[in-house]
Amino acid sequence: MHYVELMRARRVLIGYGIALLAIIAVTALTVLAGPGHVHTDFKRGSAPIILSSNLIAGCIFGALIVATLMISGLSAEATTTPIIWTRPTPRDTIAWRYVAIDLATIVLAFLATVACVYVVLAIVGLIKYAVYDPRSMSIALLGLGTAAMWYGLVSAAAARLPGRGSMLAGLSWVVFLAIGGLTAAPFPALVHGLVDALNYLNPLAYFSGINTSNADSLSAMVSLNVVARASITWVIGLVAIFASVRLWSTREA
Amino acid sequence: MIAISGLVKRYRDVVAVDGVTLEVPTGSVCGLLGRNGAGKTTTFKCLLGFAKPDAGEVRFNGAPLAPETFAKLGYVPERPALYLWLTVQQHLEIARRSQPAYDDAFARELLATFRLDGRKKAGRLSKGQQTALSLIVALSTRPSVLILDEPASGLDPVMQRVVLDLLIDAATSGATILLSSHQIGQIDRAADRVAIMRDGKIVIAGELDDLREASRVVEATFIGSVPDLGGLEREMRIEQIGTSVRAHANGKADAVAARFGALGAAGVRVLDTSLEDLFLDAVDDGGTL
Repeated sequence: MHYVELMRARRVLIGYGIALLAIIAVTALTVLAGPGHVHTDFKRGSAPIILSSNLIAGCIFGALIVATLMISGLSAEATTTPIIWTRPTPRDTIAWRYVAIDLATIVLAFLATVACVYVVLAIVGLIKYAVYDPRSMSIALLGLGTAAMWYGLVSAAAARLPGRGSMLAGLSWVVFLAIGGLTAAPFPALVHGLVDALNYLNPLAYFSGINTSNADSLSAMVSLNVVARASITWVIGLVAIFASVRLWSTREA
Repeated sequence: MIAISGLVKRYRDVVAVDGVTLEVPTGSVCGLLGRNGAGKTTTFKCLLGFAKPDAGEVRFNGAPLAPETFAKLGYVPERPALYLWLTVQQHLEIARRSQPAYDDAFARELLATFRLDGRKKAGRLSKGQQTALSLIVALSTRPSVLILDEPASGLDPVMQRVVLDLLIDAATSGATILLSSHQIGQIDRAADRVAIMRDGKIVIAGELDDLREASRVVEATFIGSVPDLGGLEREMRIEQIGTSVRAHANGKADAVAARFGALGAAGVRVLDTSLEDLFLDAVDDGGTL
């Protein structure tokens, strides 16, 4: 039964891959078009340092985009319930297979984005300035945790709203960005407290401020170090995924 | 065998299925009839575990519904449920990967019978072709239990005949089949048993031949006036139009005909009842099905 989700993942990855290839192609064409478009010769002492952690943080948005594209998988099965629920496999097993494929797709999209960024740097001649940063792994874990949390929360919300997964996934960008923005709004204390509380369920909140030079926390919306934030995102993500699987496999058609 | 006992399903205040008890023996084709909203589809949903019944029990070959049941159960829904972005061939691939009993040769045979192009996406098929693909997927495992909700809707008459022949073949091979249809002719042709639902209840159920026999009508014409019928009115439903009398014989057509003869009827006819008559009588309304 997971064949369908494999096909869906393939479709998403092909589309996303084409977008990445287009970025590489445009970059290559820009460089080939003539000198002067990208300045890569820096005077001694002014050469940039491109930290791998910064690149990885940026690449996480690729994973988030693909996460929101994959969320609708189980929800979309509302119209094909007579096929998916008449297989000799327990429903929660079917759901977990979908989740495993979706999470693997998100990781693949993230890795593809990282590869794309490095290829682009190589094309424009900046790769020699790229430096490995030991924080890269923890930031990658946090980023993927953010994607898992996003995927889990929206999947749980969509589990009892058959066919509405895509709509909720699209709306989630608006909601999560809005909640983050509202934390800075001059609300009365009670409302502010409520928004702050909601922000703990906002995946983007855990990902903000990670690239500030002063520790990992001071400018972040959730004031914890990267490892702690990564742990929380994974815990919330997995709990939400468990909930979504349970809700989906026990719903009525 | 499909055994349903005391099935109840409520949606808030509405009782969609109200104490349905029905048995479909192995190798039998049972037609489930009823007007729109009678509870047929909800009954199917409860049978398949898509909806949780409030009361009652369903058993397939003696065992309650479990995931393993679906290894031997095929289902064709009222509206084709297909992945519109996948091809016909990919739908068969889904069945191949998820059903241990998938029979590829038989599936290809069915594909040829229904003249479906394996490379075509489901979304580009006509409604009839989508129905055909649903049937192929359901039949490709040669299931021992088949549940079909309007299996021939959207198909042309030739294909409808093919579907009914397939169902009869499956039943002959020992499959137990429960199907609903608004086309009484299809049920009449394929089914050996029938159950008629009204307002969530089964109002008539049994073997089609027995039901027909039980519902035969005896019509007698008298000259002058209708004599005293000797208490026949208390035994069965009698309709009188002028000097003609129609008796719903409750399975005693020959005896009733003899009594009318003894009462001096000028003419006596025993009328067979069609399934449509049975149905209309059961739903107590001559409206649309």
